[in-house]
Amino acid sequence: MIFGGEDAAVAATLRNPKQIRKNRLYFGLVFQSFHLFPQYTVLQNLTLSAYLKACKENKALPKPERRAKAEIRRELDQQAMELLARVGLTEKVSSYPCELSGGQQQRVAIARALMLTPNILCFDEPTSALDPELTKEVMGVIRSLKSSDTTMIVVTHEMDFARNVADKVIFMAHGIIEEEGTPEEVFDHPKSPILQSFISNT
Amino acid sequence: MYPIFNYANSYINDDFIRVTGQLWKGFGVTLSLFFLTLILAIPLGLIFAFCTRSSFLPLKLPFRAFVYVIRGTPLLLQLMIVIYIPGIAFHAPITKWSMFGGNVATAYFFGALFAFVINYACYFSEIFRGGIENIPKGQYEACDVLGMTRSEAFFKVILLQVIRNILAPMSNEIITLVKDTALARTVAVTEILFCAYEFLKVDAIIWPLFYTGLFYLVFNAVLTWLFGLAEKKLSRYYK
Repeated sequence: MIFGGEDAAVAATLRNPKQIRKNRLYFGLVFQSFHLFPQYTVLQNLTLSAYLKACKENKALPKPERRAKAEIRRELDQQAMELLARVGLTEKVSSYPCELSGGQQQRVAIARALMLTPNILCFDEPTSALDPELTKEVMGVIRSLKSSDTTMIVVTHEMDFARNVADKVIFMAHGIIEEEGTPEEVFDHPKSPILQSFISNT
Repeated sequence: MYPIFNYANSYINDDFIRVTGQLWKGFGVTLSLFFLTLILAIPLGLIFAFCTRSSFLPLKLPFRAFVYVIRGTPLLLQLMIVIYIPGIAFHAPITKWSMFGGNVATAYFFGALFAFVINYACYFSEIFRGGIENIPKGQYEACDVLGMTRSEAFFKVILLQVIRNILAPMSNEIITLVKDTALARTVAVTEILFCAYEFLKVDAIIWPLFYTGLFYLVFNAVLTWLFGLAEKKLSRYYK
């Protein structure tokens, strides 16, 4: 995988923790069980790592070009508010994660991942810890993000969602790619017997 | 007959004021021993916790063994070893160490402090270890994917959760420390119980001994209240 003119998976770069951290930022990850930071508000959850990163970059600049920390913070807060509006949680900005429902927590987690503007956003079964109602809510948010210029890779068991939203579907069983193609190819004309039996069961 | 209570004077008598003043002085020593132990043992305990958690065996095993020995032997014995072994084994009694300026009381105080810090650092390290290991792995993973360094993750995200995890066992251990300072009496540290004993030996009055209990109780009440406040504040983040 090539990012910024460099291969992100070359062994030499993978031994350097600094390089690993840099490469990681090409990716965003949304977890199955959210993993929000419980001691921070929604807004702080979104801005924490971006703020740390901005401060570090700021410090590396020569002194006259440095910006005030308050200015950085204001800018990031504004950016976070825009993302919260996109996932529909503007009114929860100063709530703590424990005060939110599972679906809301997952939407915050999605916004948090988007904060660092990753090239590829990965979802690790984003709805398997949620009930059907909340699943719909989170799926709606993911669907609405599709128009943006971030590539999204979603691991999911929600077949309808995959069929309706995905551009490309990969079916895996026991760690092996069984079949891949457009949703029509995979869902309507499955070739492998495992996929055929899987689809007829759902 | 021993005059257990001094009925000779009025109820609130000169003795009471004299004893209270003297016990206050002793309690000052108790408090300095307590706070100094706390201030030194907490960071040391954190270092011990990192060492016993290390995956580097030459670091982990000695520290594990050390913590095991310290936790497996009485604090009273450790106090005596610190105070007497330098003199017995190396002919260099701590009272003669130049760093204490020949002051016997100072030498005993710092000897006792050393033993307390080591002992409590070991207990704290086990509490910290538990607190750190109880943090869900997902919190570290979330920090990783957000591009934080290990130290950023620890200080910005993990630490407060660790503090919340260890608050209850720490309050227990800290209250025990308040009372354990009384052991320093055995190595002639002039803490409150030592002062009360002086009254028994010199004036043959025993009640100052029981009076000391009040000092401990009031101080522990304050500590309990403080820990209650902290717990309330941290529970804000959790259902």
